[in-house]
Amino acid sequence: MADKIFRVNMTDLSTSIEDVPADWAGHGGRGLTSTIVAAEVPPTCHPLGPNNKLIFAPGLLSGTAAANSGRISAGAKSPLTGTIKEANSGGTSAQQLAKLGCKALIIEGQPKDDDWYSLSLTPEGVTINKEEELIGKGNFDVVESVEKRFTDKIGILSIGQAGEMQMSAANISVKDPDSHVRSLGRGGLGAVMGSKKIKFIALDAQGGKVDIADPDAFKAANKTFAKALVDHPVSQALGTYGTNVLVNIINEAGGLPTRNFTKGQFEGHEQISGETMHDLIVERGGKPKHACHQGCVIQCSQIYNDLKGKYKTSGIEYESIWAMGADCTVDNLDQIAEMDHLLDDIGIDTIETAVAFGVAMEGGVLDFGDSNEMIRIMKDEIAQGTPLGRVIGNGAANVGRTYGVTRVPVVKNQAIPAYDPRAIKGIGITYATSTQGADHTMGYTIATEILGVGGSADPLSKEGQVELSRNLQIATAAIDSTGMCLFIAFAALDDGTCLPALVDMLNARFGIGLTADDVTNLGMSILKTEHAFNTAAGFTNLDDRLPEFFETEPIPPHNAVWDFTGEEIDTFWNF
Amino acid sequence: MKQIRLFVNTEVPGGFTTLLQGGIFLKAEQGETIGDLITSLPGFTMEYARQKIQTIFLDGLPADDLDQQLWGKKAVIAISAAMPGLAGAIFRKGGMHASLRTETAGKLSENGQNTRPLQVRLKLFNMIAAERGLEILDEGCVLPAAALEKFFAYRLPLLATVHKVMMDDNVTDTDKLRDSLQSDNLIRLSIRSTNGG
Repeated sequence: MADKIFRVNMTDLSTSIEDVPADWAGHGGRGLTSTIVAAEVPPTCHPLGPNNKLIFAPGLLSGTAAANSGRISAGAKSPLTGTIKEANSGGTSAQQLAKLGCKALIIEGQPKDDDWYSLSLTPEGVTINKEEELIGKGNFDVVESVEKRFTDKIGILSIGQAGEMQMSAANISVKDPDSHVRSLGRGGLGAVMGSKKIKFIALDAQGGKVDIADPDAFKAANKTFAKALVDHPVSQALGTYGTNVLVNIINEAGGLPTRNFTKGQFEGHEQISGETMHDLIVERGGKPKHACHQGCVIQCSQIYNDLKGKYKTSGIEYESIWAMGADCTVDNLDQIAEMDHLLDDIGIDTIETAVAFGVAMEGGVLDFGDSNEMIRIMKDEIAQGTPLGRVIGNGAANVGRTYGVTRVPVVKNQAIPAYDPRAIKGIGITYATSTQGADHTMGYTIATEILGVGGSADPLSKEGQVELSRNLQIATAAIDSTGMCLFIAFAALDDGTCLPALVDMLNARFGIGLTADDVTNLGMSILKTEHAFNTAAGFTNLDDRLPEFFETEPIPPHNAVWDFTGEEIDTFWNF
Repeated sequence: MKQIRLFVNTEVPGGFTTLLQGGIFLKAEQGETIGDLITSLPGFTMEYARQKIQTIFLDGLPADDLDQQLWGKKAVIAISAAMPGLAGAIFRKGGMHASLRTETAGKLSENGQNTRPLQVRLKLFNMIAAERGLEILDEGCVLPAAALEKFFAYRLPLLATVHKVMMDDNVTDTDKLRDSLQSDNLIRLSIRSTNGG
């Protein structure tokens, strides 16, 4: 079955299934969403207007048996940043889309009336249905109800109340194998889905399968690839403590932004650390090791139960725990888990929203550490769409503007996550230059020398640091196109068999002859495409800057400041 | 220094290893290396240290070398197994992304004025505490009394597994134990798993 483009026009409520243009054939995941947005979305359009388009795309290896290949990408022009945006997530939707033969789902236009709709994708095509029952509901109710209407085997993409109200921090939820949700978290893509008046998308592949050009070669490469992942020591830590294993070490480094980025260490870090969380999960009968999608061999997710041993949340990440924890000075994991559950249900980004709370705390809206008031605001203000709820739900920068706070940790309007760039400068370069606003996943740790992007400048010079960050972003853009989880990066860094096996799987899947150079060129092409979109949208080099306070406010305990000049940062795009 | 011995049910002592994330206090000779200090702990060989300890912090800065010598009056060392993320790679011992650090721990200087052993606070994170913590706790370690009280305050189910408390060779109960922990004084703590009966 040849892959097709599924297109939905919400203005005239029409659908079509199209052949894949030759220029798009080699793309998947982020590479494809960014290529389509760049080709079809006017860069200066309003992100919530009819000219923006919302794209979903599985990765190049999604739907196969490849280990850790279950990521789905969503792309559009972001209502939060105004830039091009891609967010990706685990869950079951990538595999469903791939098995449907859907290379990409493009949603365009906008209904002229106030009616709400849902989409249903099957091998026969797309149907658009009016939706009334689930409007105003949270994501957990939506998943439960939609599974009853169809089956519990389907994939579901949905928005909560935040997406319906088109808040800039709204996310899109992705049903996971346990009928809980993961998130296409950053950049407000849930608001774009809300602007199209689509509450949920049901994906039912009905047992469809993905074609493999050379099954034996694919199987052999996948075996090598999976072994490299399983054997790596970082996988052991991730499978035991999740990403939250980072709390203690980032705190030790003085890079754990605390109290709205005024300190680099949090007194309550031990209460929210990965080690403590692991113990609480085990004590309460939860699961410290859990897969967010079929085929994951690392299993960094977890099931977190409350004090009574009842399910509370799953897949709670370091960055979310940091944001609701250290940044707001909340040292209670149960309160953080409660907030994580609420924000998942409302359908709003945990990082953006919690950083917005930190700014609101500095602005005197509520006290630092007042997690009860945070929970109340989430339930009574954000979910209900009150003026305060909308101020916070539109992100950290919006809160800063509203309350006159100048210490606002954002780049291109998107909240800086979890790693203070004064204490960890390499991440600061990524925050400044990312095509999508501050995002820790844009420049990951990849074996740059294997991809031939190791760099030539002195690595200790600022020129060398910018060059290394650029090369990491190039490699990350390529990985994001495969549908692979970024956590393959650790094995790819150390095990010489890992990345070649990934390339072998791509070749066996499609019957092609890619080389590592091709992968690198793909990454470069994606970054340039995204940058060109942003330039056409009106962004300049002056947007590639960290907020002023990072240069003027030393962060304890090491009292470091951000000291890269604009000219040094601007060399990032010299390729 | 108060000596506290806890006897806990056989099935549960693993949970206590998380106590080590707050750090234990050790004495190091002037000029002793980090590697020598760590391998003086029960269960740590130099091979284990070189292979499993992938992240070292010295006084809050990433360090690359187990052969780093310790000088001065006090030091804080944190050790961890391999860490995820770009930050994990940047801080990794001898890692290729170390150039993206803001600062790396420099060599401590010997000024000749300190002849007495220095006090080291050693924090054990990640798999290191899980894999080697039981042996450390069994043999006994030094930590602030308040750290144990803080630990029990949010880990009450673990406190319930303690079936015998010895304080300076006298049998006591957990309530009196907790009352005695309200200070920053150092205690010597050992935790041993036994059957409660």
